Amino acid sequence: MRVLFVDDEPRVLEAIERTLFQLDLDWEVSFAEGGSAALAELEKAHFDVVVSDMRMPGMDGAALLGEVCAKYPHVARIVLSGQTDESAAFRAVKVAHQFLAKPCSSETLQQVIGRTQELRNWLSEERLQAVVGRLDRLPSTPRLFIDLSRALDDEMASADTVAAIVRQDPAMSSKVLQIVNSSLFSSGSAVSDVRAAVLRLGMKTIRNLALGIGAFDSLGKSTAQSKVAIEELQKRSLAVAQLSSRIAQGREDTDAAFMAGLVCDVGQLILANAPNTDGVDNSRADTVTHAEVGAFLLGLWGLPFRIVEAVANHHAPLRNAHDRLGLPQIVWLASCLVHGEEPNPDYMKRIGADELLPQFKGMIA
Amino acid sequence: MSEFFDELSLPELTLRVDALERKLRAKEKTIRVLIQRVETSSTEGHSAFWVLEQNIALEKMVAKRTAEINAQNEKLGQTLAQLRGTQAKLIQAQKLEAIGQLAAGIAHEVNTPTQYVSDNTTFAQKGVAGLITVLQAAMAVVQAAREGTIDSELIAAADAAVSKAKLPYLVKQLPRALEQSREGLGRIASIVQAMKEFSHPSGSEKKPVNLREAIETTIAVARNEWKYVAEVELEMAADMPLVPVLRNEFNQVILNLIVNAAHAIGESTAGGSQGKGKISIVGQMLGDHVEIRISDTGAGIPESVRAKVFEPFFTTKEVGKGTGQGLAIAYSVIVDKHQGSIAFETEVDRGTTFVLCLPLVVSAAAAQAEATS
Repeated sequence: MRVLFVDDEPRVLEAIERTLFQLDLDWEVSFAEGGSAALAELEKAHFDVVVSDMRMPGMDGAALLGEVCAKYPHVARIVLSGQTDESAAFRAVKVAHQFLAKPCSSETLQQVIGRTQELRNWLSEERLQAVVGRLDRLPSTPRLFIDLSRALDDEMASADTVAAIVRQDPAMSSKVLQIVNSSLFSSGSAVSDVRAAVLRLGMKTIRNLALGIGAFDSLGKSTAQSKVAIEELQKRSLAVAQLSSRIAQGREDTDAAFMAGLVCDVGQLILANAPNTDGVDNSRADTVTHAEVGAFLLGLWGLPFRIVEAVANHHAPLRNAHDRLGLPQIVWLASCLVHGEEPNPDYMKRIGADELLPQFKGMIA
Repeated sequence: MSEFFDELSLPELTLRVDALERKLRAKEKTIRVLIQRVETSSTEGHSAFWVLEQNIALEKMVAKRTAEINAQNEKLGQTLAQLRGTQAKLIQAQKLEAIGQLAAGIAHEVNTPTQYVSDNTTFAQKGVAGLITVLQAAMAVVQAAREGTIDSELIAAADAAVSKAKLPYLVKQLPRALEQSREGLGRIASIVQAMKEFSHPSGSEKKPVNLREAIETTIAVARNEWKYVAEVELEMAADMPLVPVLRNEFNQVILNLIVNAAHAIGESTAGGSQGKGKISIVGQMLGDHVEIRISDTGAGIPESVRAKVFEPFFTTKEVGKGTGQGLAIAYSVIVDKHQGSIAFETEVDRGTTFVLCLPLVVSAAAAQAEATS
């Protein structure tokens, strides 16, 4: 893996180089003292990750990452910024997959960068990486988008009202979790629950996100047909989310199960809406690929990793090392049942869930 | 800022002072009329008794009026004190606001060195652990050599420790990592110190201040505001004496002018992406006063707004970037509080220079006004 670090303060780069050298990683690292120098490096070699400061003289981080998104969309874009204000965070949201706040420990930095390598193991096709890398948001269900806009128009609207709308929509939920888990807003622990995310961000920030910077996509230009498709996908996803959360009761974190169920099919949203010019076979939306595409996006966005893992494996839970009813298995099972498919009986036996199947079937709303 | 006006707003205070002054004027007029009447009557040949009677009435009236005037005067004094308090609060409020705007920049100034100090100390900690294992292996070799029991196994262990610790890299990088950590901590300490000096209350009396030091502190505090768009140059005359100023208020004026200059340059260079501009601050002695010129290489002030720049609440900046108080406060501080002057020279597409003049000697009248306030 090749990583490029960009900062106008050479001491920051030197210190990062030292800590990475000590860690004995198999990464090839390069350093650039500014936006233009970084673009020159990108011309010279194939990179997988760019970690950039925001405020730099000349070409700043936002401009640089915008260029990277246009020219090298497959590259993971991470901001490492000393700015602490919300407007800076929002400028970063537009161009970066993840944003880390200085001071950031070398362990965190290494973990965040290392995760992108794991994601590439799941989705190795660079063309698909590029399709996902370019996205800064996902299409929302028009109905829920309107509901949210109305709720936000009301000065008195409570966080509960807003969270209740957002948590029905895979697109809005993913974006909110991306933001709340970025280190500019995070208090350290990963947030898997939309309600907790809305409470942490606060109504003002949610308003800015939705109405100010347009972090949610209203599907304004889509065809009626694709709007219907998205409505249907959202309904199914919500059903999978609810069932996952019920099955998880007493076994796994129900919030994480709900979220993993809700977003397990975002890959379909991505593939169905990918421009044909990218040479992506849209018909693959129904095959296993969408799980990897979805997981790649959620992983790039820095959602809690067990959710990403569950999404990646929700059609192939066998890939998971443990033979038990864990998060990926729960989402797989819920997805099978909502789609009216019979789960593989041998596998159900292996994870010790075969006898519970009738009980789970009874949980479908 | 509105909470500072809750007790009495500025316009309300002005109205009250006006009303009190009107009442006083009316009372003075009554007394004048009475005196005139006594004077005219005595010259018109009234009896002595009548004049005495009139005089007693007049005295009574004067005594009553005097008591009333004294009461009104006291009220007026209180109102004026309140007015001065409100003005002081207004300036303090604008300062808090300026510091609030600076806070995000200061956090950035501190977070950057913290990042590399923290990485370097992590590196040093692990590096020193490696050095210790190397040292222990080497000591074992020394010990064995002393006892004549040295064998290839010990030497191999020492070699392994050296290679595991990446000794050559450590030897080269450890001193640099520590040196840069010290430098980074120094940077953090100096920004915190500058912030402390900048915001430390300096009291309400003018004290002799080294303007170079005061301006340097302010430049340091505002560093994050200008460093991406401009270089800052400070040139103060070597013979510049200490100047009697209200240090806090003076700092605030310089801050407002530096931030304005940085914004002006930022606007004309697309945030510094079209090359950096220059802010120069030049101080010199001119007879009985000092002159400080703060110049930027921004786009200049358009003709249409030149007349309004010192008006309160006037701003051409986008919402959230300026409150329109900066230059109004600068005017009030320099002209009203220091009996100095503030003006500007501007040329479209070339830049703007603000010229401050401060008297070296506090005039007797100003000192008197200060003493009674």
